[in-house]
Amino acid sequence: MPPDSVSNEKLESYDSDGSEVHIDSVEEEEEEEDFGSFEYSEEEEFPIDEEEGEELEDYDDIISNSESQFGDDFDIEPSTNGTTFTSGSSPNNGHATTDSIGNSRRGDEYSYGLTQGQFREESTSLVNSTPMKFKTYTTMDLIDKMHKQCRKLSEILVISQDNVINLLQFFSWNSERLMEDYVTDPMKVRKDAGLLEDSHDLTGVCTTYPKTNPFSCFICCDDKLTTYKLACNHEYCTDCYGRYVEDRLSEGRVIKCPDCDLTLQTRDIDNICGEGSSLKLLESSMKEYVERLRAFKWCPAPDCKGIVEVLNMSEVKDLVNEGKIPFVRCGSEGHQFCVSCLFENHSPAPCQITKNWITKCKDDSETVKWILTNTQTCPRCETSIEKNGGCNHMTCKKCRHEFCWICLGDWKLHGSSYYNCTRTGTKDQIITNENKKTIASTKESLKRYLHFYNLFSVHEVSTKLDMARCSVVQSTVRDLQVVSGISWIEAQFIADSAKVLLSGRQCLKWSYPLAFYCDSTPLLNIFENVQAELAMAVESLSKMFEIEDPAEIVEKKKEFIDDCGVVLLRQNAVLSCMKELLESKTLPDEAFILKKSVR
Amino acid sequence: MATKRLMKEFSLVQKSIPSDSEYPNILTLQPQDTLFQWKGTISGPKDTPFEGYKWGLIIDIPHTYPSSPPSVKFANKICHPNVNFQTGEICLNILNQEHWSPAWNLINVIVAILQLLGNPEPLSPLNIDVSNLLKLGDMSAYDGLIKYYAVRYGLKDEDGILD
Repeated sequence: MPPDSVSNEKLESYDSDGSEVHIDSVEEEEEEEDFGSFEYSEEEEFPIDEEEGEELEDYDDIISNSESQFGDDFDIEPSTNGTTFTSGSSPNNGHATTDSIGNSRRGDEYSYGLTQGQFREESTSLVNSTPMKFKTYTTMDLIDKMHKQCRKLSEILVISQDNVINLLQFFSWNSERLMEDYVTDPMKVRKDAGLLEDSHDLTGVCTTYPKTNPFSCFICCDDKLTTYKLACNHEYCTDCYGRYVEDRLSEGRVIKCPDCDLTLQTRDIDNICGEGSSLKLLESSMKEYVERLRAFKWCPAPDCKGIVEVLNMSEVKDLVNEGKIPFVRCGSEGHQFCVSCLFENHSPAPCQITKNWITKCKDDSETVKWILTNTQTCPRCETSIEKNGGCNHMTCKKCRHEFCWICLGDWKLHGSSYYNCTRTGTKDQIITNENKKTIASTKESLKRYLHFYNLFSVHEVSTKLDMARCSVVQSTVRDLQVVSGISWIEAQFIADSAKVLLSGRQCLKWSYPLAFYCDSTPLLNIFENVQAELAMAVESLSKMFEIEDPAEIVEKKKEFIDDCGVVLLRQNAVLSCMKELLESKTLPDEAFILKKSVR
Repeated sequence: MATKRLMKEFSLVQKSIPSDSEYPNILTLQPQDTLFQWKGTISGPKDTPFEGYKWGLIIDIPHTYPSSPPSVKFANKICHPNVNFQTGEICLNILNQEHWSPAWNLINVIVAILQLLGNPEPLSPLNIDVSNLLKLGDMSAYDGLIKYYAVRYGLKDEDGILD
């Protein structure tokens, strides 16, 4: 989740004339207008001095450099038409924001946005800059859009809207083809789509039979009292018909009579399965509709139904080549995702590295998991050994070294405690000693990969845990709000902190693949240091969320805000360092070439 | 629901198979130990390379029948573009959940399979070699290959009727 979606909501909550609308009314406002008519484009700036010889300086300097950009270097361009933003900060109070940043910066290094518990500054940071222009939609917006298209077509083709919906579903929402075909031969198109030949819409008939003379349904072979049939007279009981239709609602295609090609109309579906069922069909056919529109992308987050229209689709390729990440935020929950990879925002790792990393993980992770869980390395020659039974007295097939499976110590030292290790606390010691030995290069690279893969997956797991924890904390604080009467705005810091935490975690996670593909240079050392700092900051914030008592959480508001500030700063430092890494060409070319997965 | 429906289908089958002249190529169709497992025998339709030979069908019926389609496969090997030579699995759209309609019954399914024998679909092949022959239009090779395997694997009269 993005740390700034709060500020985004704030952005959206300004009407084009600059008057403030309450935040809660964002959605309503979006529906009124041509939905989501706001466009964002945030320019990336990396105002870090790149003087030679300074690369090795303490990275704190760079942090403070990147800091200074908020107050001084970042340009806030007033919008031209009031709806298109060209910078990450809000357009109509740009000056006020700049001032408050300036003040807080002068006061205390980490005193972030203490005003009203909001993190105003963060919207100007690297963390949130995306080179994309986009609009967000919800499924309801799109259904409106679909209905609009149907209305338009029904006027042009002079057929009912229900028919248009059927025809569009039949043509997979390819309206151009529908128009073309329908104009050439309307009868054929109607017949193919299973519509009656004349344009009068006949809805099916629901019949009720008397108890004395029930209807014997062919499908279930039971005697039933209510039935449904279309104009084709294929009659089935409403139960069977309902099951039949319900099974097909999620397929997004026209539903036909069970026994012939006649298509069920929207009203038939509602009659059979209850009001609103046809909407389900429309929703499921939206998938095809969205796929037809190239600039529209589904949010890839699980269960998220957000849709984003990318306005500068043509630039995506160039951006990817420049190493920038074309990520957008979906409207519903503010998930960030990369338009090129259709994957979560993987900043700071560029797209190619992400693709390589994911392929690598897919190829290797199973092997790695197996090796990790089932084998140990011989303490002398580092061969991976699988224990497939027998006692703990191991003899390495390769170097004939005899050792204990449990403590990996030399077997000779076990003396009389045969087959049962009682020695403790020596394992770590032995391994570190062994690490000093020279190891074959393949072993080394696997180890290196393992190292980064472990870090990566640890943070992946932590992200999930954090997410769960954050929602628990947020709900407890919400409860507290009700009891103690703390205002919404005062408790808002907890939601903001959660967003900062998750974004920091995600940045950290994706910095490991980047580091994995980097050559070992002084710059990488710096990067790793900055990374470690971010890791510390994230863990510290994550720890704050472990506080159980909601009252204590509210008390520690300032600490939360401070920790968030640190995370954001460090995250920015990582991002700027990433930028330098990419520019300094420490990345070997192979990192950018998508390797075919070897099977 | 499934049992009642299958009972009804069973009585319909008993009435019409093998006596009904409408289905001359369905030789037998009968349930096995339960109503959810059926076996059938078909003979190759007229004017197809399959004419004069016989094949067995194994029909498994899911408990969700007739909402879900039955699964049907050939019991003995048959050379056909849309049948897997090794397993006897049939590629027929109405046997997919997506295209299946509860308004069809087992006799409809077998009729559809008989139709598939005469009207193969080389674009969705399960037996690539023979579909290539068909695609290239080498009908004598196509017919020859089918007949060869029919002679080799088709049910013989002396095998009796598959049970």
